[in-house]
Amino acid sequence: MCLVLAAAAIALGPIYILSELGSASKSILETSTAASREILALIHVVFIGLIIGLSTDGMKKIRSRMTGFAIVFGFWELIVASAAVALKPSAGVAPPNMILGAMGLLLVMGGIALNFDSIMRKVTGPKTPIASIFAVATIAGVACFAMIGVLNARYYARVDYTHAGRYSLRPETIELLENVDKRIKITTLFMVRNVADDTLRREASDILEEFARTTSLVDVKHIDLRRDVKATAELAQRLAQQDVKLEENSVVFESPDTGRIIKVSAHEMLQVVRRDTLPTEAAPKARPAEEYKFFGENAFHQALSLVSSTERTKVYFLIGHGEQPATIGEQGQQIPPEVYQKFSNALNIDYLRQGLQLRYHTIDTIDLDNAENGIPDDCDVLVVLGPWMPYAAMYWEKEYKPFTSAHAQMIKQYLDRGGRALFVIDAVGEQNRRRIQPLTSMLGEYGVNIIDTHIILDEIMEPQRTPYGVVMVPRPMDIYPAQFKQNYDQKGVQEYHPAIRSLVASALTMVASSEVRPVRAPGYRQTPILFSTDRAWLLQVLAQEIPDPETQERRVRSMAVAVERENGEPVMIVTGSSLMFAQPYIRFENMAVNDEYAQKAIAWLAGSDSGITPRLAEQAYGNTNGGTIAAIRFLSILVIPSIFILAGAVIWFGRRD
Amino acid sequence: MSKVSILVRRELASFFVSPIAYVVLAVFLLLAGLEFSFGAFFSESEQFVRNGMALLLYKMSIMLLFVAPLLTMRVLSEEINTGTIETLMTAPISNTAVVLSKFFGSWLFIIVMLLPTLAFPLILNFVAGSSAPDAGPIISGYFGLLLLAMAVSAVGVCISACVRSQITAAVASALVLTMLWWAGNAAAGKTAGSMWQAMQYLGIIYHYDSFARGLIDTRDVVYYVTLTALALFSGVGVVAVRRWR
Repeated sequence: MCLVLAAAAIALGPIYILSELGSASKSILETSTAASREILALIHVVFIGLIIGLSTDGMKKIRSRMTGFAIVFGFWELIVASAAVALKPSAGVAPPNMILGAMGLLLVMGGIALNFDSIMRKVTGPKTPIASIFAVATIAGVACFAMIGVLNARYYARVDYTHAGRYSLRPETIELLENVDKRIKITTLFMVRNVADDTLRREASDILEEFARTTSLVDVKHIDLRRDVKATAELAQRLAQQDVKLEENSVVFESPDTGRIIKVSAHEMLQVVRRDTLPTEAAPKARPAEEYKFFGENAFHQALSLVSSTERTKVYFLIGHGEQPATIGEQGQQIPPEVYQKFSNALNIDYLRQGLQLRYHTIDTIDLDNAENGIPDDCDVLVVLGPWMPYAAMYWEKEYKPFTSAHAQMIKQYLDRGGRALFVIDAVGEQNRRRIQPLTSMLGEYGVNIIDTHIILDEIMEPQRTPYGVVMVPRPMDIYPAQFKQNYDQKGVQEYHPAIRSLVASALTMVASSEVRPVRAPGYRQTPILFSTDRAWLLQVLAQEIPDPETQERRVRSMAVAVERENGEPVMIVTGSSLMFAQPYIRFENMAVNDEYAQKAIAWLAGSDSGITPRLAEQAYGNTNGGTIAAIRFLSILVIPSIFILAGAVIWFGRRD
Repeated sequence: MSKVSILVRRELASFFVSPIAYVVLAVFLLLAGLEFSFGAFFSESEQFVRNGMALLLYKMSIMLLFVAPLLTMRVLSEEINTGTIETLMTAPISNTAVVLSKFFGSWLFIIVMLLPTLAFPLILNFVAGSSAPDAGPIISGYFGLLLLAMAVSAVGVCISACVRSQITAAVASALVLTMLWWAGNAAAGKTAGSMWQAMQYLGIIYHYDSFARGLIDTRDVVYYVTLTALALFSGVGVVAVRRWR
């Protein structure tokens, strides 16, 4: 009975600690669960009552044992109270901890006082030195264990036995870390609420530990947003100075030497692939219901590279042909206020610009009519974003200039001397296609063919009144980069283009995209990277009547193509919808997938993409059948355990004989 | 050392003549077999097989926390209870030899218990065909199980030396191992703060996680070795105190 009481009391200690820490400072009676609260009180009553009540000579032996347990219990309460104070310094020596500590002290002192003679006899007896030496030796042993533990946590090595080296840093990352010559501070802000959060925390912490081990210039710190109030506030202040918001489950890279800060968000590190969100063809049944893909090493590599560098990539936005930045009046174009207000969202690319600036890209605009020497040499990436976009062109087309052959030639010269560009070419419609024809013809020389008179649709549309009458406006469609790609993930993520590699199971939001097709062009390689569903069909731009979709040709259609030279050097990415980068859609329904696509596309073009692919847990898939599974179960559950039961029975009966 | 080896052989033999050991062994293998057969590996409706020994190994590590106390409960407490400890104490063997022999006997028996589970990766290998499971995490996982078995055996032997009753020894061992498991779990996810890190370091299953994933980390190896050493050292001390009493 004594042992049961003591065991229960000991087990309740952690419950008390955890319940104390899980809430604000409240009394013990309120924080503990109802059962533990009552049991704890009962144990105190029993102990105290027994010690005081068992005072007759005949009960001496029982009383001394109870006293022993009471003393142990009392010390345990003191330890628990101290631990609660230590683990939750903000609570301090709160009343609950004081009560607990006081009760423990009372038990210890009471136990000693009531059995003082007996205890003194034992302490001064001849066997005491042995026990004392043992006690001291054990304490010394525990101290050694603790000291070795401290050293062990600091100095260690590890060997990765996975076939793909899943937990080892890539050579590119190791090289980057070894060449870092600036101090880097990395802060993690993990809040674990579910399995995905825990997976993210473990994978990210694991890899950052390796970062810190590779170079002494990297310091990794973990902040608990709920507990480390001061550290959180200081970090939030530093982030705010660069217009970066504090975000849960993110990792912040800072360099005191360069003054740069890069935040890596959860969606950049971890992708949750849910099989039921993928189309059947891309999600064969052999896939597990939910998988996690960790892209952290690539994201951290890029963040580290940006933070430790003082260089800036220069991104020029082309203007003059109705491209996105120009329509906000930057060039003094006269946009009727009521029109701007109506379309401000569709024409606003502030998020895109902010995202680029947060990644330390310098943004500028260039009007080819004013560029005497063509596109400047300091242009790392040229962005042509939505020339003659239909929604803008509807209202102020007279303000736009058409693309001329000279403009196209200047862009071609820039590309041919090693330049890179992101082209976003909407379907401008039959009436305006001649205005961008020199540009689309030039793109054809690089192996990209744009169907600029029709938009890609799936089922959903809604009517909207425009100066041209009622027009069926396509609603955003979700597309998955992995959709309808054969052998989805069987050969590994390495198959995917760097611009979409970390987005393969995400949904990009495309709106009124043109069809962008790869065609053969000598000296260049074309890779289609974004696809529609197989139910997609084409509708004429600004059509007023909708044909019967069932009579239309429906098939998979490409919406973006990446072009590189034969030697692998990036040249361009051509995407068919500028609205996907505009305010309503670049971060659609709190998902920043379109934004990430833009950032990754520009990073690849600028050469700052690390190219590091995630190493996934190797999954062996095979086909089996019901008979084989039954045989395996029979073997595992019946045969193997039965062998040992039988052997035991034989030996048992043999010994009996 | 020859005395120790003789005692180890005797100790191991005593396991094999005990019916309890066979029952524990069969129950352990049954649970492992159930986890393997009905866990995440096979699905009749979908008919696929998936390489995922990590989960099975992890669950086996937790099973060991409860199986080991049942195996080590009698190693010293039975001798104390029946009085044969007196014979042992008066024999010309050191306290260390006594404790080590009990420890090695228990550890070796647990290893014997784990051997049949090697059939599971072999079955997976056979069924998966050309896309065989990655052997690295399986090897490191079993290495981790050996270290974990070593630690839990040592803790069990130490506690068995402290108490007279086998049941008390089993309960106390299970309690201590559960507390060590709990320490790691309670601190999981709480990455900031030295107290949480200390609690995490004490987590006996927390240190197994890396082995199951395919990593052999010296921190985990050193933890298990030092925990074993501490438990055995304490066990030797308890036996010494008993001898002098």
